Amino acid sequence: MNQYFKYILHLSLLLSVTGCKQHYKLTDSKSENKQINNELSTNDFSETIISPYRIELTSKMNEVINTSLIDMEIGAPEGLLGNFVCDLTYIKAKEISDKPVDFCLLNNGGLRTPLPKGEITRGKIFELMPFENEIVIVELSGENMLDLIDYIKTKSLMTKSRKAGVPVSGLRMIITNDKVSEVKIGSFTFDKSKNYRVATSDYLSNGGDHMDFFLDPISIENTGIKLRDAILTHIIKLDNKNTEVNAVLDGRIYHAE
Amino acid sequence: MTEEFTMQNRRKFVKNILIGVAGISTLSSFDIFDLVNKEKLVKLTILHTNDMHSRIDPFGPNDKKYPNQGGMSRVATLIKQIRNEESNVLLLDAGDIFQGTPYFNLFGGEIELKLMSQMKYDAGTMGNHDFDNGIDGFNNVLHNANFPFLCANYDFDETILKGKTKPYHIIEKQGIKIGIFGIGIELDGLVDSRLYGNTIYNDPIATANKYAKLLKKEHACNAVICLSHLGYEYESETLSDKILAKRTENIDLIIGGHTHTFLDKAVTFLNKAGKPTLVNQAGWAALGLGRVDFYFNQEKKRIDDLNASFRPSKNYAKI
Repeated sequence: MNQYFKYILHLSLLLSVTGCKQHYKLTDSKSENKQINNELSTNDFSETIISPYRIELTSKMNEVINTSLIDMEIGAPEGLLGNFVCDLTYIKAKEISDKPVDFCLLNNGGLRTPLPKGEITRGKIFELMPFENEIVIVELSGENMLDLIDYIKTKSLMTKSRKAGVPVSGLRMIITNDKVSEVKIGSFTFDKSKNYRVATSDYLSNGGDHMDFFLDPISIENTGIKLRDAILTHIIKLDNKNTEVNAVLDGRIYHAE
Repeated sequence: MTEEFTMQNRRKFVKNILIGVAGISTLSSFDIFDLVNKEKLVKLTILHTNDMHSRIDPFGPNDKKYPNQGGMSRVATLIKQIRNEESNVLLLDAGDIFQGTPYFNLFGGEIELKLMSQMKYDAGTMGNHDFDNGIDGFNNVLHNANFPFLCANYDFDETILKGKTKPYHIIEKQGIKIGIFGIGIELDGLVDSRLYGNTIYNDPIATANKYAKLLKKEHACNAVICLSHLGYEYESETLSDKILAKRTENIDLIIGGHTHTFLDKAVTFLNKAGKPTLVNQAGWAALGLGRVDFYFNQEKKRIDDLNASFRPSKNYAKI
């Protein structure tokens, strides 16, 4: 009985498995992508891996690196936060480059959170500047500078939008009756026949925030310095000199009636 | 009692076998027949992520778009659940593992690769952000990954990454051979040239066709998967997964990234040879897990279909 049984079994297996060659063909597919939401719990093994890093990260991010004397926010035609970040970026660019840097221009959209009065943590600066944007120095022709000036004017005249205002440093502008009446770069009046070297972020130099005037530069110098690192270093340096963080509105972009 | 029971079973067994041999396949109550039937149809579950961007922890509760969503630890939970349900699981990533949270800024990608190794990823490819700490930075943390990085069109021979990535990888699951290769995006203009150094960029379409053919024809893979970081689609003529699918052959599935595209399901395109190629992508920031199940049937005789070689899911996403 057993012999017979085995024989039949082998025969049937042979017929069904080796009756044809074992060649598989992709015949059907089904697809449904899944969401990763809070209905899913965390994974214990993963948490064991993450935990020591999270502790280190949390303590690093909660580290107080200095104190701010004032509430800093973006604004138009100028804002404390924009002035603060632009001033330190301008200083950094001048420090890094072998050639002179004429002024600095950034965008309010890239400053992601206000910097409140009181203790400043490292994490707050990551919130302020979560991007990996780097400082670049772009040399622009006088022609392109005219577009840059017009861009600042237009954005400065906007009032309610978050996109209003362009933070600058080393450039002063007076707008009279919606027209640009004076532009000074450093202590000199803007000269259309000259080229200017502008410190900005690589995001903007690539035309970000519609800064098309950056798209046809005479030259670009990469500094390799991340904007966030420049901010962090500056704030820590101030702290080392027992200096608190401060900024002023100085009428660098000014609406005259 | 026991004897009688056994005898009854045997009688039933023999009956089943006889009917089975006669070619009636409806009787499959016996384990052995189930086994045989299973041998005739193999299911492969392909799970995939892209652009996880160092999203170790979920987005914070105050995030405007994705409060309390996403996170690699939760992805691990879902993968574990699916592994418990399915016997043949492939887990793949289409690049941009790095950058996006302070975890990357502080630890350089170490933790991301450790987590992916623990989740048992089978392979990954490099996205542009995986160059963010330079090829040196990538090389420094690479030892944390126990899975291969597949980069077929980045030539790293003149860099520190020489021999540390592979163009393709073949995995066998239950007698099914799956060939996987990786295609990266053009770095010039996207990544600072100091970061990618002497990396040479080779044409994605020519490279994809070369490796897909090699895998399907010479290595006789039953399915070929391309891990791509080209991006799903663009308004311009920029090379995308859609274009890659249409201009190549021998690829069954393109797992994409870069454009952070959320698809409900894989989308089907007809390739250069008129056969279907699926393209899928699962958003970003560990907010999604892509899933494609492939069913392989044992061929009785080879017929070369003039039309589709397999039937993709009918109710795929409209975009």
